[in-house]
Amino acid sequence: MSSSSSSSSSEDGNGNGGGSTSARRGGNFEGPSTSRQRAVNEVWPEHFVEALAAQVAIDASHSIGRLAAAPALANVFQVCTTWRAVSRWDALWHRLSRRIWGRTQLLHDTWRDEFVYWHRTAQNFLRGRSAHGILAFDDVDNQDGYTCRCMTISDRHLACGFADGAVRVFDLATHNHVVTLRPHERNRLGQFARAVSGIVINGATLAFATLDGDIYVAIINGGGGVIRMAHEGDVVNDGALVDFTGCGSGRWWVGLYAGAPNRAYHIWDSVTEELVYVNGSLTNPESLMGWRLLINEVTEFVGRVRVVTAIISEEEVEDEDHQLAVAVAVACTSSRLIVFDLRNPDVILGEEESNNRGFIVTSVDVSNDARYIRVDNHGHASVCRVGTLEEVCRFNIGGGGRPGSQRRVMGCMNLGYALMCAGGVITVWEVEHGRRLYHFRERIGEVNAVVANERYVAAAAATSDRIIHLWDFGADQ
Amino acid sequence: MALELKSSDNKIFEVEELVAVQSETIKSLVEDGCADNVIPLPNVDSKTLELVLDWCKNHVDMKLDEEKLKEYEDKFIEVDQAVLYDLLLAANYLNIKDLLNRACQKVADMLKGKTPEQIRETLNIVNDFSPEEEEEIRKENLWAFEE
Repeated sequence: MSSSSSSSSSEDGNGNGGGSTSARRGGNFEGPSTSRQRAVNEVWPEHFVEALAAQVAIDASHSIGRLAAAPALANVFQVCTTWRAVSRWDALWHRLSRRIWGRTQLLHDTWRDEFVYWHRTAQNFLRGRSAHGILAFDDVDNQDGYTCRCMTISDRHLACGFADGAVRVFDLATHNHVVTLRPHERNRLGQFARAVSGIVINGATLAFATLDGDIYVAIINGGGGVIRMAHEGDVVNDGALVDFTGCGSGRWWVGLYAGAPNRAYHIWDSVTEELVYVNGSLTNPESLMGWRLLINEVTEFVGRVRVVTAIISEEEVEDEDHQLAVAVAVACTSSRLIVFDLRNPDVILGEEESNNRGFIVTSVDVSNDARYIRVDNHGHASVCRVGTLEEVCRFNIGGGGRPGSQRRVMGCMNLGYALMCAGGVITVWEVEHGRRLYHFRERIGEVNAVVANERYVAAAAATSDRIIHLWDFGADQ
Repeated sequence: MALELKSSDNKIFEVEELVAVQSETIKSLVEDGCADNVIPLPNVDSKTLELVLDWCKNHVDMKLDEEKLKEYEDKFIEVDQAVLYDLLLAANYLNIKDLLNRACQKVADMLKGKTPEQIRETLNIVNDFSPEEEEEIRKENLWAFEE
């Protein structure tokens, strides 16, 4: 008899197959009784209880929020001994770590530990409990090297790109400065042509791009700072590469350009390093600005692009292999925001016009649950689903600013929380309902770049003297 | 081709094979060539089996009409809790994935926002923990309620 198909298989060696039911602790089970009087110790099939526990947790996370999953689960486990037994099935915790916290790699001993860790870490984010630290570096050899333009974070590393082309990588666990990577010396058009536009980390390797379109690849640990050019920039034909990013799975690199008409998006297959797509009119209005970036005004941001993996299917399918996961790009300038599928970039999945207000390009980010955030010049923040552009929540970031003027706001978002740096203050909102939570105790002044994942927040202050600020919300501090 | 299924109370049901093989359990029997005679289902009574077969038949009939099927499923699962329990046991035994999922969702809806005691009351489950076990579990799950 085949086993029950209601859930992933259990690993605790419980002797029953899924097809039949039997009592765990003494008592005889007689099958569904025809009379409506029920046996006192009626037993629920364990696979069903597992599926039920998962459903209860997922429902709670959808209707209330991710942090509601754990107490809902705990209530299920405390019902009776049979129901409690399911809490020992690591497969259940694996499934929920994936569904609720988006975790596919096991960083702890068991999936239960993994789930508890991310629950506690999210709780720390909610309450503003973090440890503040400093990442220091001392190998700056020119004035432009102090300006951090972009940052990318993975589970293990933080990579920071500077206006002089340097990429500095730090180990998040030890806070050590691991390596500095620099683009090849060559003739470049403009003082800031070699400024770093974006960085992609894929496990042990890193790719970074310069404003004039070079893409370099390096190994983070043990690479000795050696880089290999994967693509040579062609500023004359392509314009400036104003932002460079990749998706979590590491499959694609996406570059946003400004300066040449109808060449806004470049997409590379990061495995073959082949350029597979060039098109897009998004940045046509920003052509002149794109060129100017190469010469001066490195602190301006013409456009931003972010990539996220979205599940494009109407229902949540239990069998994850059958979910259709696609890499989706969100690209934004001050006047327009566009969402497109990387496999089919000509088709626009959705777009938003900023009308009179103007989007603050540096406020745009995506989170792993396929949402994006953007703030306009009136301070209105909107969090939307990438697939449908349906708004999830909205809030106002406050602060002054004359309508029509460009506000300086640096923003980022992780699973559940958005951070906005403005006027020297870093403020945190939860993005299920748009509730303002708190601001960071540490005042670091104007911020040049900020990035967050589910555990860390990193920020480079404009006045920073060879340091990067790091906040660790991890549960095991 | 028709199959014959026998409930625990010895009632025979004749069903189309296409309908019956929505049960993975029965499907395996058919594939193994064991379905020539009457298939005994000692764990399912006739009342429940009738309901289950109605589910299976409608899933074959309405396969292409998602809206109609959803309407049917929502109505089907509006049963009293005792029947729901029998249905889920039968679906588990017969391994009918979509019925199990629907029943699971229904029970999950019933448990929304409930404490363990309230869950026990709703589902007629006895608290079979010893006081020591109860304290143990409470501690085990403290992390979920931390602020």
